[in-house]
Amino acid sequence: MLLLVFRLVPVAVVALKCLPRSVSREAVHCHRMLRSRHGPVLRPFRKHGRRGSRPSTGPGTWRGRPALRHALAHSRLLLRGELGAGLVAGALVFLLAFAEFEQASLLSITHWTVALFDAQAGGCRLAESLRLAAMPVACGLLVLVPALRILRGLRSAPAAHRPLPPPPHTAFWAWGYLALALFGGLLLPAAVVLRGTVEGLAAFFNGFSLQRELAVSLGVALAAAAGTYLAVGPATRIARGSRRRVAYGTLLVAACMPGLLGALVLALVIQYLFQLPGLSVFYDTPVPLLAGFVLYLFPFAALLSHVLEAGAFDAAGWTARLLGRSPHATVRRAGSGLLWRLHHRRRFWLFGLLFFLAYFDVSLSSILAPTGLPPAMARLYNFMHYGRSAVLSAMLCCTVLAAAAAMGGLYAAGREGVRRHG
Amino acid sequence: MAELWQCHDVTVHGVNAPRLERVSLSLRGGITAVLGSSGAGKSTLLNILVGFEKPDAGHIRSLPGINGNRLPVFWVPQEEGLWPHLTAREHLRTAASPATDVDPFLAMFDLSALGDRRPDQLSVGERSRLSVARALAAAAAVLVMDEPLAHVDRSRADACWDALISHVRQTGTSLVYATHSPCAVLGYADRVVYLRRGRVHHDGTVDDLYRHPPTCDLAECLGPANWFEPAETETWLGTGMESPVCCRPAHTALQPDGNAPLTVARARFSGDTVVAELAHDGGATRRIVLALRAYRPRTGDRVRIVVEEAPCP
Repeated sequence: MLLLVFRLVPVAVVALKCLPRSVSREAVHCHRMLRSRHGPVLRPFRKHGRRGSRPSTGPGTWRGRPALRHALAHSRLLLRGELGAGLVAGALVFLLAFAEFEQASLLSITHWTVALFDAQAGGCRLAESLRLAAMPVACGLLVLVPALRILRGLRSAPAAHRPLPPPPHTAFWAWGYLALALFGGLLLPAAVVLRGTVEGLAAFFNGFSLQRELAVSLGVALAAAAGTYLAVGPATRIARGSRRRVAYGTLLVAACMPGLLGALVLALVIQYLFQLPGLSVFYDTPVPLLAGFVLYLFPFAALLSHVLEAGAFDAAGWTARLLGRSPHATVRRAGSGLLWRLHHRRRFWLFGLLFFLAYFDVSLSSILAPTGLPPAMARLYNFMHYGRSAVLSAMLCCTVLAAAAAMGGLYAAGREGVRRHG
Repeated sequence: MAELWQCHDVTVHGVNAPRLERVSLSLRGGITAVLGSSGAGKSTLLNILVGFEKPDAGHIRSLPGINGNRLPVFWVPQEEGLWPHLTAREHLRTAASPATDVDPFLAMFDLSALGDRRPDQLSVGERSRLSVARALAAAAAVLVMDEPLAHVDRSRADACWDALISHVRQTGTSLVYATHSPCAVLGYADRVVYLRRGRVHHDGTVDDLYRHPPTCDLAECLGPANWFEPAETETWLGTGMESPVCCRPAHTALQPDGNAPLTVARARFSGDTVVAELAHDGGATRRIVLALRAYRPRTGDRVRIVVEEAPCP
């Protein structure tokens, strides 16, 4: 549980930081000030006033309706501000936690993904697996659909982003949590995992080969991230900007549904589909794996892309772009640097997140990877069931470093590309 | 003055009504004010000029007049468009050419003491000033400003406007700015584009619009005006005219006249002007705005209207 918390808190913090707010705190407070006119919500009848007072007459006798109306209007307002942002961030965290499989499986936690995996391993038929997955998918949809609906109402408003001074003791709790997370979520596991890595490296380089798996993993993850990024960008823009929003929104949600099946069920469905006559030519090629990744990553990417679209290219970004037409190279470079920082960098991190999700996935890779092209994480995961060893630590270290190096290189290339070409 | 932009039938859709509807106009160099009430389409037009928004129909053409060895165009958006991670001084350094000393720009807008602050450490008025200072430091050939200095306190605003306009004139920069303040048009602009409900209602010189407004609405967009339709002139001015008469408060006076058919029903003093409700013996009533003078109309006075300058047109 603590490991999951350490993993999800950064997601929640980043989402809360990045999500736009359409309503400022001042606007919410102004609306709250109107409440006193209507009285408390939970006082529906006040036909005769207090005992001894004269019976009240006129439109004010029914106190409940205006108060309730005000409370509902206030809730709608809050949904476009802090509350809305909080709920969307919560939905994102829920979806990530809900689809969790590998950690739950390794730590033997009772989770629907684990139960489904066990059922599948026990010889359960595909139809039965899908029937078992129906309820979790419905749960995911119950969270995703309202979250997307709320997100559509969140538009960046300049005054809505003015931060309030943090409440007292925030710094104490924040630093306390960071220290705990750093120790419990990073340093302690790293110490355990990396213990003996140096010795393991020697054995690893002498007797094992992971280069091929690493190359496959990097290639597949890059292709999956690019595919999902390219698919989700236009889809969310169409759903947000079109006049037929309901139709496109429904299509978007429909496109999110396969990902909500969970990696395991999705992999089984795709494997089945690619054994059918029309698609069987692609069986045992990277196509099913890439299709699986695009569908699996789509809901997360759609949610995050909505966040980016809502708060993205604003006046500050455009003023930076205008500098790109300066006759002075220094000013042009400064403008491009600003563009990278204000606009492209957040898109890069979306791409990076998709890359890491694909790179470290086990379920889809294990089932859909073509013969002879096993991704590194699937191989490591298989080794992990035999317990920790120095060689395994070395392999894990190389796997993580390869991903970090790939992302670092892409980051530098992206920044340089934007600096040169705007 | 060279033409900067030509808009042809530009339309931008809105939620309930078009934000711009078939706008065709050409914007020239010099100082042009885009005037209109809130929601008239001023910001949309400016956003399109700088390329921040694209028209849904029609097209816009940037003319060669704005090319050269300067940054062609820079923008002061309505919400300032500041870069959150940079200090005030860094904003100016980023936008200015390397050889430019940015401190005079900070001083020009009273920001010298705030040079090391980031936007979130500045007040709304300070951010407004910084956004304008950054635009001047960018030394663009054309500056597009959306309600610049709108949040600056009154005591500073005039000085900031003077600094902005004198810099623009000295450097030969063209300025297109949106405002809903008649004072900001009359004081600084050469030309004015008046927008109403997404359509252009006037495109011409400020002087022309002030002195010869074609309609009552256009007359009042540059401040109070007394508008008399031809059919009303006999009743109120005592002389029948074939075209409408427009007189500004400065050129309109009331004179006490015991034999006149007009009676002051009510008079309200508001600083430099007097707003008088007049009643004609025939039963008609109307409001008239006058500059404050030695004679102050009082309820019940019999008066006649005197137009002190040849009315237009």
